[in-house]
Amino acid sequence: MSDLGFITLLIAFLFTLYGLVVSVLAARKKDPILAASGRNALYLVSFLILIATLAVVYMLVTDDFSNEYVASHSERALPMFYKVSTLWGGQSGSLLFWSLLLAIYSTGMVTALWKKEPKRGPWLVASLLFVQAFFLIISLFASNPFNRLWVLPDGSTVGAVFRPQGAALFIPADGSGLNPLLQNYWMVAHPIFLYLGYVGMTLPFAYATASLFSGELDDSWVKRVRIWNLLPWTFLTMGILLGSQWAYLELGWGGFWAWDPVENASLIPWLTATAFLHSIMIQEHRGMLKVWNMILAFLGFWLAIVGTFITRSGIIDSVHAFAVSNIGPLFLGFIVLTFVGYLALVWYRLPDLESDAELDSLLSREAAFLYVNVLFVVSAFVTLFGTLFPIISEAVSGTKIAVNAPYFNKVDGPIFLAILLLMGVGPLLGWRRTSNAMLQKSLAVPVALALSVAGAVFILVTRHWVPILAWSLSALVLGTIFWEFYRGAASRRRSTNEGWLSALWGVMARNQRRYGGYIVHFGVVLMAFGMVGAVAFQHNLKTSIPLNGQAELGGYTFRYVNMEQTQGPNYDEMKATVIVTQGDRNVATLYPRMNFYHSRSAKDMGPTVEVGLHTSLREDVYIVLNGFERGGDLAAFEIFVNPLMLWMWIGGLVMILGAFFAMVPLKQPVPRRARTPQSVAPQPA
Amino acid sequence: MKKRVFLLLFLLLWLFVSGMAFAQSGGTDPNNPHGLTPEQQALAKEIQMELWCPICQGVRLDVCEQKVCQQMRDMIDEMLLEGKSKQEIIDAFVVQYGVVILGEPPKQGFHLMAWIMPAALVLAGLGFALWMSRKWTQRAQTPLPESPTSEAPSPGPMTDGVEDEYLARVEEELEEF
Repeated sequence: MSDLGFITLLIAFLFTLYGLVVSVLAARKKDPILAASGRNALYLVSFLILIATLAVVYMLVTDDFSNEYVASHSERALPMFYKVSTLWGGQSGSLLFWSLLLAIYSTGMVTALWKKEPKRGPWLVASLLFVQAFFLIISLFASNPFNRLWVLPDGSTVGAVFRPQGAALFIPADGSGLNPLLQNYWMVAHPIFLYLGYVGMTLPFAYATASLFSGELDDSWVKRVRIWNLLPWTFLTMGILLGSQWAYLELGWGGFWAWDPVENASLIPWLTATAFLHSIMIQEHRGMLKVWNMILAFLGFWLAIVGTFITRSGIIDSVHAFAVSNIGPLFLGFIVLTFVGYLALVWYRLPDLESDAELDSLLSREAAFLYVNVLFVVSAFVTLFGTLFPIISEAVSGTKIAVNAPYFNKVDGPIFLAILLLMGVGPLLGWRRTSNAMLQKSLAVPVALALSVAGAVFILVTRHWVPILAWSLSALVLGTIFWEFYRGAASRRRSTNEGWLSALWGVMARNQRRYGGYIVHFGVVLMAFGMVGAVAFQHNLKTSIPLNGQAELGGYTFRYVNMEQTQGPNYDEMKATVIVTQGDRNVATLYPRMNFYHSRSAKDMGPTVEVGLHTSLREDVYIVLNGFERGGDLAAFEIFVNPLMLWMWIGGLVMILGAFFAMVPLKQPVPRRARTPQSVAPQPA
Repeated sequence: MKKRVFLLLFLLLWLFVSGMAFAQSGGTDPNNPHGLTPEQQALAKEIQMELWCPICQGVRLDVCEQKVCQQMRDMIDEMLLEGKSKQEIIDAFVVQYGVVILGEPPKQGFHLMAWIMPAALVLAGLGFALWMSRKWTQRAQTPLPESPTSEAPSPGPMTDGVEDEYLARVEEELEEF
């Protein structure tokens, strides 16, 4: 099976090269037959990668420990569900998974656009295959999931595709097991979405490259590329949210975001992709920022690759860096090559990327978009800089330092607050210019709301400036969103005499992009509300409680009443029972647990914790079992009370819903007349 | 006789006091093994929240379960009992483990760059945006033909009536001018 997978992948690589060359030739000679051949090569490559991936899954499911990847990441006792997910649980498997997702995306994008894009088409195929070729090189020559295990004459074992001199095949009796932290439902779902987001960043990049090469640089490219950016953006958002949910439930430190390098690596491309989502609107409406958009289309992709390099090359140690291997130099080469190559391409096309329009006023929506864009990109680079700073410091000054959460909160926090401010003001500004009177009228409600929230928080909750500022800015955004919905519905009512609800729905359905965007903004407000609450007002207590003893925190009483040992499929479990009460009211019975996994690799890591969680709209009660003595006569707990935590997840859900509302057309657009750019319905995904 | 009663009372008192002390040493509160005052406990927690595990990544001292962190927490308690100030305790740990335990770059020497750079990037970004918008507005002084992608209301699409509520809104907004 290892051989079959390897050969399939090798053939896929050869066809990738073929398709790349043929597509470039086709585009240069304007030969439709060659172009079709290049496209078919892409389809074939996608199919072959699917076969190769299925080969890995087959070996995982059948416990084929002659394969190095299976032997070092799986084990017999692993539940079937996790055996399949082991595909992306280790480095070489996850890189193959990357190739597979790119193949699926490429096939979808090329199929959807081929007929519409006679000129860009071959270049699009070439760009996608170029990226695919890089990942296949990694899989074939640096991090191969089809290595078999060999035992050398000196007794050591080694993973290789071909038999090393004098070696014999080695099949261990059992594998060394999947990292216990990954044996969690959230951790199965989280990488899929994160990779869908990451890999999807290739799509706007490939489309922009195709536009630059083919010279089709009119503003149609931003309209077409929008959906291919919004889709991976949505997945990346989901991936990041699921990742924080996993961190919250599985790592047992009471928080959801640690500014860990791996988390940063997922946030950085998200920030530039968000900037891109906004700035394409300026180009669509006003024909401005053409060069900037070309750069942003590239940055999302490039930063995803840089992030992968940072986390996978082992240059930064982190809880997520599960494997270290020799892929670093290849990644670095690709990073430099794409950067230089793309900038040269943009430079070459610079004369065709002149702005069509001018800024009429600083008080205009395009100006607000420009500023928010700059802030998103700056925050991306500030985060990247902070993530890399320990390496820079070690190289330059020789001192080892750590750059942890407080640093990022201090440098990124103010930028995010400024973005929140622009989120509140920007939508109220009109395109081209806004009169002061107009602005005053529309700002009145949101500003009043923001000030009253600030006052209420100051009097009733806290004197700390961070929650006051963050919540009042959130209220500003909220006011703006409601004002916009109200104005839209009111305006429609005037012409159609509908009821409020149907007028609101009508105006939303007519303009899904605009109102979908506002729904996403609403989700962001809810998230900010929850995150600030959980971070600024968190209580925690580290305590040891004797059996039948109790502890108190945040108005709750925690009574530790039982400890029992049970068996899981591949682990032993110690389960504590803690009864949570508030006054006379019984709140919940929670079962914080410790899992002791049996596998060899897991024993080195120590036990994992499963938190006991009671969630409500008001606050989360979160208990971690950290240890126990004398079979449970005394147990060490860490208890957290996280106010408003649930609102963060609700906000995340609202963001996703908003994105889908903006993406999926409710009905086919009616080709009545020339439509204004704003009312162009999104293309089907 | 009086002396004996006095001695007995003394003995009882001694037994009581030493018994109390024994009880206290035998059953130390596991959550406050060093017997800190509430103020010292709060200060210890504050210090723990400002320091980071020296061997793991991004784990704060107060939640870290590593042996070295448990020892560090004990050392904080002991140094507080010795009457050391917060800054003295932090400095002592920096000497022992290096600046890595601060969790952020120290604000001196080369590491100052970590703090200047983000501010410089923000200023550069905003300066760039300002420069761009200046350039655009200056060019706008010389009137150019309306761009076809412009959102400005042209009479063309409006002939369809006010049914298109977006245009109605643009019209509504323009009333303000």
